[in-house]
Order: sequence, then C-alpha cells, then structure tokens
Amino acid sequence: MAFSNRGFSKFHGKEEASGLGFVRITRGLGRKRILISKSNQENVSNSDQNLLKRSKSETTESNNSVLESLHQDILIRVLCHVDHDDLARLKRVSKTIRNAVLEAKKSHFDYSTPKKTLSFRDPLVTLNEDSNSNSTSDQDDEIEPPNAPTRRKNISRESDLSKISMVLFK
Amino acid sequence: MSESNKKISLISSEGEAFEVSEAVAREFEIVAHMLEDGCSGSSIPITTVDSNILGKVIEYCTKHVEVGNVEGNSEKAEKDLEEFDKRFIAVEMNTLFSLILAANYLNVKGLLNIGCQKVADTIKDMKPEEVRSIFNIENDYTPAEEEVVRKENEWAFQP
Repeated sequence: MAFSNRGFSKFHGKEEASGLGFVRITRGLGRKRILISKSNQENVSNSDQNLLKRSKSETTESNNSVLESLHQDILIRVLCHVDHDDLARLKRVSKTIRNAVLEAKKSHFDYSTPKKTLSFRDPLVTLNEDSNSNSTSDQDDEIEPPNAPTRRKNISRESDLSKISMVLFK
Repeated sequence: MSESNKKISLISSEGEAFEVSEAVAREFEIVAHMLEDGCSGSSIPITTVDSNILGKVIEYCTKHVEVGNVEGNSEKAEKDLEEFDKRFIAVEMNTLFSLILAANYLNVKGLLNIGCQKVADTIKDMKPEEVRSIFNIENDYTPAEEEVVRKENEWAFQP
C-alpha cells in the first residue's frame, strides 16, 4: 500500500503542472450534470456548491481532487463496479462521493446480487490466492462443514430427473 | 463492408490529425452518429481530447476492430483481447481519468467499462482516509455529520 501511495502522490504533482486541459473538460461536463440530477432537490444544491468549489479551484489550481473532478455520472459508473460491501466505507469519504454512492445504489446496487464473500477469511489472503492459482481457491471453497449430513451426489440426482422428464413428455 | 477502406481523419484538440479507417472511427459512437447523419466531411474535429489520449483511444479501438474481424478461434482471441485490455489500462491515474473522460465523451463503451473497473478496483478495499489522501479529496464532513453517516451502517460492524 505504501508503494501505491507514493505513486499517486507523485502524479498529483504532475497533474498540477499539466492539469489545465483536464479541468477544462470537466467544466463542460459539469454543466450538464445539473440537468441530470434535477429530480433531487438536495442534489441540485449540492452540485451547485461543487460547481462553485470547482470553479474556484480552477482559478487557483491548487487543491483540485482527481476523483471528485469527474462528472457525477462517471463517478456513479465507477462506483457501480465496486462490491456491495465497499459502499459503506466509500460513503464516508466525502459528501460528493456519498451522493454518488446513493445514486449508484438506486440505479445499480438495488438490482444486483452481492457477491459471495467468505466471512472467515482475510480478504487479502483470498486475493493473493486468486491471483496465484485458481485451483487452490476452488478447493478451499469446497471444504465441507464438520458433522454435516452426507449430501447425495448431484450426478445421480440429475439422472433421476432426466428419467422423470422422459416419462412426462412421452 | 465496401466502405470500410475509407479513411477518416480525427483531429485532436492540438490540431493534430489522426488518420483511421472508417471501421475504427465507427467505434466512437459519437463519430458513428455523425457519419450516419452525413453531416461531416472526411475530417472530424474532436476538440475536447488531446493528442496523447486520442492516440490511445484509437489504439484501443483499432485493436478491438482487428480482433472483431477475425472469424473463428474466438476463445483465444477473447483471451488475447482481455490481456490487451489489462495492459492497456495499466497506466497512471491521471492518464486513466483522462481516458475515462474521453471514452465517455466519444462514447466508447468497452473502454469506459474497463476504465471504470480499474478505478473501482483501486478504491475498493481502501479505508476512507486512504481514498481521501490518494485522490486529494477534502473531508467536507463535520465531525457530527461523519458520525451520522457512520451510524447508518453501524449494524455492519457489530459482532
């Protein structure tokens, strides 16, 4: 983590030097944004504030943030790619992000199923295993709980079912 | 596809011209619409995207058009393309954000998707403080407000 931190802070410096074109693009998009979020009163006033803030930072070029400078619907698009569990944490970053998270929830997360998470394993370990080899993590998923009743083999059940369907549709 | 040999030049914000085949240019939905409406000549100005980024987007589209044209052996081609996407998107954040903005403007769906995925993967497992420091975001919550937001999800942290 420390490594990526350093990488990012380096690029911030660069961005201040060459950020002019980048910011100009967002302003054009930023105007569009008010129209989109008109349905929500709170959102409108909020994005207005953000616009003000942004135009201020355009003149000073000092503390513009990369993630928040994105147009809100791109931000929502980005957020649609994270997992359900991450939303709560991301909400706490800032108001802009929180609004985007709430919108993303309405438009995407309410309609999607959370991924299966293994609650008793360190997520970092899982990640490493996944990247190292898929076969081992597959095996781990298959570990059966102790004293579980024996499961019937899927294969035999399938063949049973196929017999039934034969009878039904003859 | 007799007209796919036609060349179209896309002109970046710096005025540099990129000559691409029509099939590649059509990957940009915005350009495709222009072509369909017949309201453009053979050169199309793309004023909000600079040369560096436009070059990259064109590289991406060219690759995808090439792979899309090859018939058969689709599994390997798909894997290749995935590999290409992964390498293509492994750029520094600044470039990545410019790419996303450009993809959004030009309406290149695939690129927009992998770009967003990449950013999402970056912020996914971070603490709020880390996200703030990396993206230079100001914490605009007052302590009281932050407490409220934290409370919204408190149940998730209880044993």
